[in-house]
Amino acid sequence: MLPYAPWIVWALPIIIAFTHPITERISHRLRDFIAVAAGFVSAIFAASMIPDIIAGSIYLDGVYHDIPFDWILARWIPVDGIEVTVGVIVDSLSVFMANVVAWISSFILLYSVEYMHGDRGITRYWMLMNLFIGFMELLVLGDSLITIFFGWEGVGFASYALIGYWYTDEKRYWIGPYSPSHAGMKAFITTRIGDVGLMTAMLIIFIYSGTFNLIELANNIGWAVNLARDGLLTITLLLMLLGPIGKSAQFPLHEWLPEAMAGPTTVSALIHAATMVKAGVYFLARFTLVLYNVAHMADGLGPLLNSIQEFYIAVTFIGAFTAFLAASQGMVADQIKKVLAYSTVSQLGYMFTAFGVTGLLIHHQEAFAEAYMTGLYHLLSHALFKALLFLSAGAIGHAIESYMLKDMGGLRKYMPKTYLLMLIGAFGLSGIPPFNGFWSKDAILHVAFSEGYIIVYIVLAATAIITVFYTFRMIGLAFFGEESEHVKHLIHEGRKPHDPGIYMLASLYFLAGGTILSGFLIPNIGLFFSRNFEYLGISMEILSEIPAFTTNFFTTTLLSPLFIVALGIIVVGLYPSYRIYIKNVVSPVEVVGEGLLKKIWIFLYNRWYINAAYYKIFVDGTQWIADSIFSYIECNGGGNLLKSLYTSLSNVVRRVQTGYLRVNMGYMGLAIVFIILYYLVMG
Amino acid sequence: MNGSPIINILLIMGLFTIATPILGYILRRWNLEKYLGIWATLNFIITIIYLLTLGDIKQYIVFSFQSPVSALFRLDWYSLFFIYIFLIVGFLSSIHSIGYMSEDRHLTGYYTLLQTMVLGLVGLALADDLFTFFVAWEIMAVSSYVLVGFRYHLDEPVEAAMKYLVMSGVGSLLMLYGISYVYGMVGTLEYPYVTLYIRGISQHLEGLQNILPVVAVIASLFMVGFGIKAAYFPFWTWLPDAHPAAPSPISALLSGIVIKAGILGLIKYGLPFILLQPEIYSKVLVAIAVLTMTIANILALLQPDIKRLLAYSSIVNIGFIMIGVSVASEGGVIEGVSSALTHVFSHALGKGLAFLAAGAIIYAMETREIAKMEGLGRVRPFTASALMIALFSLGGLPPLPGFWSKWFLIFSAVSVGDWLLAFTGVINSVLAIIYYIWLFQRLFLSEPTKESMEAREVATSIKISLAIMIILMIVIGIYPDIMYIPAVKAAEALANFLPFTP
Amino acid sequence: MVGYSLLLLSALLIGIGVYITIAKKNFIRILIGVEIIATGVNINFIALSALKHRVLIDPLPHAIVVTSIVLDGVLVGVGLALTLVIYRKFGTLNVDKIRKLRW
Repeated sequence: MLPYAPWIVWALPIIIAFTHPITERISHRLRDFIAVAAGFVSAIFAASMIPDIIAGSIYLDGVYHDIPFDWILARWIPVDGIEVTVGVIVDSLSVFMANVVAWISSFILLYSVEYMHGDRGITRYWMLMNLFIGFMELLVLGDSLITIFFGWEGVGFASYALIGYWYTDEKRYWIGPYSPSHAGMKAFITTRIGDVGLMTAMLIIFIYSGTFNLIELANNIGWAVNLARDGLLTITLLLMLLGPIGKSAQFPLHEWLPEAMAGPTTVSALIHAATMVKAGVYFLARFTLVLYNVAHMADGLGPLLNSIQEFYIAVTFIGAFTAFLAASQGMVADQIKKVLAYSTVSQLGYMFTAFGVTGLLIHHQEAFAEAYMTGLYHLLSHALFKALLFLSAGAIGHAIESYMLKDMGGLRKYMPKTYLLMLIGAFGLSGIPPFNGFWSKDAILHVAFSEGYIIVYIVLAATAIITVFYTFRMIGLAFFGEESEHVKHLIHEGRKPHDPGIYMLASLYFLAGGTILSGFLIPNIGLFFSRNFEYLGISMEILSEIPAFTTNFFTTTLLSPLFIVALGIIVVGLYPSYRIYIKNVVSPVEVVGEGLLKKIWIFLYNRWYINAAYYKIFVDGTQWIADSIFSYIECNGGGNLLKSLYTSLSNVVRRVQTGYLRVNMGYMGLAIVFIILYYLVMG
Repeated sequence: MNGSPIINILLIMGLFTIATPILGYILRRWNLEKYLGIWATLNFIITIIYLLTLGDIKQYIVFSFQSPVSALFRLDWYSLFFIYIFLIVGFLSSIHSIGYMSEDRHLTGYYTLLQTMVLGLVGLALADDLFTFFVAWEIMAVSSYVLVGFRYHLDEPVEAAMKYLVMSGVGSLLMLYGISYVYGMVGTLEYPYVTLYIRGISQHLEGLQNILPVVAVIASLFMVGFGIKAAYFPFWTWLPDAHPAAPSPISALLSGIVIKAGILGLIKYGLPFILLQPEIYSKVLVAIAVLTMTIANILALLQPDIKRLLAYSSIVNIGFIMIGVSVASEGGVIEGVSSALTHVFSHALGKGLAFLAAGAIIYAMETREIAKMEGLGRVRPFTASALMIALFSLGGLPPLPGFWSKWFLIFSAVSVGDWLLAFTGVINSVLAIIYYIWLFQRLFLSEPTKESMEAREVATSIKISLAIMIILMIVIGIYPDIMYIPAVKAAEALANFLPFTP
Repeated sequence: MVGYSLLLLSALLIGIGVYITIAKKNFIRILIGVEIIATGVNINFIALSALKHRVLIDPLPHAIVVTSIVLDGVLVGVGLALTLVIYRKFGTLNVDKIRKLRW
């Protein structure tokens, strides 16, 4: 490990972010270079922690520390009896996640050098991007709920500012009916609803435990026992779940993500692949480890275990439902970035389901370890292929200056490299072997099936079919068929669409390589996590019998009967989209027709009317309350209640400040007399 | 123990101060008088650096000066804490003055008085007997009278200086009257002996009964004498006149540190006497805290003049500090004193920055009316943001020092079970937020007025002073241990001398 | 006995001084009132010294009284300088007429 690696990983981008206004004065190229270099240096520091995890101990100041290593640097909030510390945690999970975040975001930064070239507010862009990454790393490495919460809020702020990056709201940046600044605000407010829940849960846990530290929460389980005794454990955990739900855009707080496309495409890629939405999944993974300890140390305490089970049932169903919901909407989206956004929500649903199933299996060590890993495998796969897809979409947008699918078509001829790269991403997303999405998604389905959660399995399998369909619909509409009017117009003007330049391609190649290869690293990642499992009391002997931790993983996957089902899923999903969108045998309008399918189409296109309902109830409702308060109570609105209250109060009381020197002296004299009298009476 | 650090501090500051008029006389020939500000800055920065080299003061350092009567100085965490505050605000004010005062006359006198005032403050923090304390107090007070009336070609400073002089002069004399009774009771004025005597007598019920009337006189006179300087209820009336009338850097000094001298005195010299009859005086102190906060807040609500608004807010914050003092009188000595000191620190920074930023705005616009400053945040964002950061800290918004100190104060009030204090503290925080937010709305959300469109760029030295203060505030806001741990050490150092210590 | 009567005298002087600062309108009179308070305080020191030691041997109160007189001189000096300025600016020394600063 390089010195102070876990600190520098998150602190460096945050510090560098504030140097951009200075370096900008010197040279623009220097500023760009420093911004990208900060990402890569931080990534190298993150990578330097890997050998220590593999070796199994961390050497620091002449002492070997076990993993997980809680590195506390400073005492923070100084209140008697309460220790709130600033520290980082170094274990398999945090190092894994830190590397995923650091490397993918570094390549996204490299890509932005070309993509954002010539934009006016680019200093602001670099600042926010570096802050975004830094806060995400803080979230990942934080050792206590409060540290995590800081990163959490920092990420929320940076995403808000980046989604609304084009705050001048020019029409060409709009996504759907909303302007970029509106979209940023929507993302911020929606995730904030979840944060309130998370904060409440944090404080309840703090009241019961007296600590925010995750290691202490895992080791002293008195808080959970007491919460369960008071019947509050389920509600606390569900409140806590609101945070990840909001951040990871799960039902019912998923509506912000489709609009979050309004920022630059690199921002979308960062939000979807590496930071922001992964925060919720990471938090779930982190807290599952705590709950595992709680469940095992409190063996035999019925209500406690029931609460934990209830919590994970909620997670499972939310995840599965969201996966299906979002995928269905993805089928009819009209913008390439929106298709990808729906697919992100859907894939996050898979991860949630994986962790929900993990939690339900908390008492079977083997199954727990296997299910736990499937969620993380999918997290990695998704990060890679989604970054690849978004950045390819960004390359298309860069070339044709539009993200509407109807403005594309026939781009294969003009952008062959982009086409190939995006195809790799699409293979990953739709789970075609041997790309990474196949292995990880199949692992989730496999666990759900083999542990007997058949309903979950069916929902996820159905979602997988839809996923294949909309993925290839997107590819077909973008790259196949006739050139659209817009593309023809561009060619006519002499601005033929073309492949991007070296910076963008380099990032795309890296991510494509990752998408192809990362599936084969699954057993290694499993072993990498053995440190965490050993800490939980799941020994290597148990782990070595699980396929996901050995090289047998690939053969068992391919030989299992579920493989046939997986192939079936691909065929069923691929065939219609191949016919309709790639070969153009049937026109989509004909398929939909005017009957029931049209109604379903409208229903899906309007996002199940969830968005509209939210606007009606919450936005208009709040507006109504605010208007009433404004007009009846607040000043300026006509009611003037508060204003007249303040004014009259102040006008009366201010008369004590007379300005007469003699009156001032009189107050003093009276005070002396009063003190003497008071003493005589009391003494 | 070796007293050389104390001699060095007094020597550095004294020599710098004495050299100022001579230097000013020389510089005036080339019309470079305004650069005397650099000299004053050097004075403070060198002293700060010297103090930093001392490191952690484990015990305390005593220096006694044996001439006809002895003058006793002591450097422990309590005095060190206050000296740091005095020097930091003094340092920034003198940087600010270079730009702000560049168009004034009599700058030699100005800088001499400024340094004399800070020297007096440092002296009274170091003083360990009441005689030395009184001398340092008068040095500080007289220079502050003159500084308030410094721009005597205007009406306002003259009137303000008049009121300030009479009230504060009477206050000092009443304090001296109290000191005379201390002498009459103990026979000496050296603080360690006085407190030793009090602790000794507090063990003997009979002896205690005999001296209680004298103690009552002393405690009451100290509460009045220090109260006039600290400007709490009902002695605050000079403050809203005097603080705005002074030049802005001086307002920062007056509001930031000079009124804290009253708090210093009240805690160090008043508390031992108050603690002999806590059940009587705690009620008075609680009443003072509550009334000071509430009335000053209501007075500030509709204030159209920015510096007057800030002056009222100073009174409010003195009320907050009095929460800590009341808590100390109710039994939570360490909690109360340390939280009061934390608020002294955070208010010194916050109000210092607020007055410096207000000075920058006045420098840029040449008006003090808030109505004319509407929309300034869009024209001169840095200056306006500096003011708002200061006000948000004073209002107690989280990542700033004001939040922590108010948190500690309310926490300490709860820890002794005084819910009335805690409740009024919270209510008054909210009341204060009303006018801060209103100011925010007018500075940042309104359309710029003609005057604010024409606001000029502020001088570099003003910008530097604001930037340093903002950085300090944010660093301390993120890591409050910087002010809290010294405050606890100071409270512990003081608690050794108090009767009935836990 | 002399000591106690001196104590009473000084308390009386201070009372008179405070009364003057409250009741009188002329600024110079107010300054004189402040001086009367100062005198009262100084007498109090001497009186207490006499009470404590029977004879006036303790140098401390004398030192304080001398210093205090000097400091009062400074105070009055500033006050009188201020009187000149006040008269020049406002044309009166009546403190009731000087109340531009209020509220």
